[in-house]
Amino acid sequence: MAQQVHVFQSKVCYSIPGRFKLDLELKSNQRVTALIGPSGAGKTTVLKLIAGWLESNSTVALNGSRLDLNQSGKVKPLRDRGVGMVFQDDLLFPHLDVLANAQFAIKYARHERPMEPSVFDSLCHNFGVVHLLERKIFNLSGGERQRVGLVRALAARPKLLLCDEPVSAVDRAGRTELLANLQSWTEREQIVVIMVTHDHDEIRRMAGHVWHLDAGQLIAEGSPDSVV
Amino acid sequence: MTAEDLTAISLSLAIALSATILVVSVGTPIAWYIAKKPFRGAGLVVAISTLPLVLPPTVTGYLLLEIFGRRALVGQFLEQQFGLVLVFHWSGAVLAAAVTSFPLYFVSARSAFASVDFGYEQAARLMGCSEWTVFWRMTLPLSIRGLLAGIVLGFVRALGDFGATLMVAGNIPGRTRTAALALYDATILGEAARARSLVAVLGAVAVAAIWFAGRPISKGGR
Repeated sequence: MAQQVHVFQSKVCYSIPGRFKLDLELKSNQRVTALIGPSGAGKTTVLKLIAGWLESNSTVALNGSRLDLNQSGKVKPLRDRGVGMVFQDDLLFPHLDVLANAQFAIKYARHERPMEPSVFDSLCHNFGVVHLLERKIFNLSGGERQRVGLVRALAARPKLLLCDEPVSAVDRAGRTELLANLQSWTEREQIVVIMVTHDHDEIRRMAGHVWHLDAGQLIAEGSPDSVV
Repeated sequence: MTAEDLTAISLSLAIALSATILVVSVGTPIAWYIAKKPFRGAGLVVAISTLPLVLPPTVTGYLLLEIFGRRALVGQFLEQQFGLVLVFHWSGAVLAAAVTSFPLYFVSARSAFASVDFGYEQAARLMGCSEWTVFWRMTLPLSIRGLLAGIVLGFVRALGDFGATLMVAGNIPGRTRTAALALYDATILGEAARARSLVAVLGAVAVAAIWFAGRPISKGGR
């Protein structure tokens, strides 16, 4: 288990004066952590703080190394953090087609091991977007947009993937399949996942650990069965 | 229409084009910075940038003479260092047209940049883009429609400038007499046919420019 501790030990501390003061720790042997809480609890804000999207005095460490600071102690720009994000409102680039969106991160990600074309093909196949690649973004349904959003984020090969209700617009059957694919893909790529969701079944199926947030405070954490 | 009028029209187009290039070169970074990186004093920069929109063109021209005239500080510097004399020269007409058309481009560009969802830019950064790439791949394409509208408005304004151009560059046939000044001459001299021809040409160019700006860029364009 010591090896696992080294691989997954992660820590997220952050505070926004007057609102947040949290110290979250990803459990060493849990690759997927669910972030739950009522609307307005601050779940999306937490993800944005972890990603560095919002300025704060956050401390974010993963695999024993800081994601937010470089070796000389300077704040890392977003592009160097190795954090991927799947957004609630997908944020697919409207001026690019599906293929250009999906490959965007491959083109620009500062990664020592960019995704090979064959792996990208497999990613598109697994997430059911192959038939969408030629389409324009505005021609996609909500569920299709979320599939493309997942592919785009995973194509960057992030160390940490933050998912904000990533399958909320997908139908029930597709959701189960998509989450299973997300789970196996992130396991294969050794990606640590923090996922916001309201669905208890999803939490039990995916997550090994749960943070329950309310009004910006961590009110409970533990295994899915103990928290949900 | 006389050969002199044709010269005035081509001179007008050249001046308007040069002024537009100058305005876009200077106005784009300022508009982007103010839209994306608000700072204390930004309001003052906006006020100064849009001042030519509300000042009478002759006042703008007079102020330009006070700054760039041969006895003015900047004017003397430009003449001594670069041998550049703006007054009664076509470059002075470019400067006058640029200053009067600047607010139209600046206001459009600032608004276009501000309307680009910050989320797209942050998403691009998270996916590895530098600030430069974010600008070229996200901000610029997503604001292109507003920028084009500003370019066209600025170009048309530069094409039709009269007061500031007359104050700074004069009305020298073949050198600084633009189509707008030629139209004034034709009207004063009672040459109605000439005047109508110039009005038709200036009007056609303006309508063509507005039509060009209003074209859909692509189905996915914003």
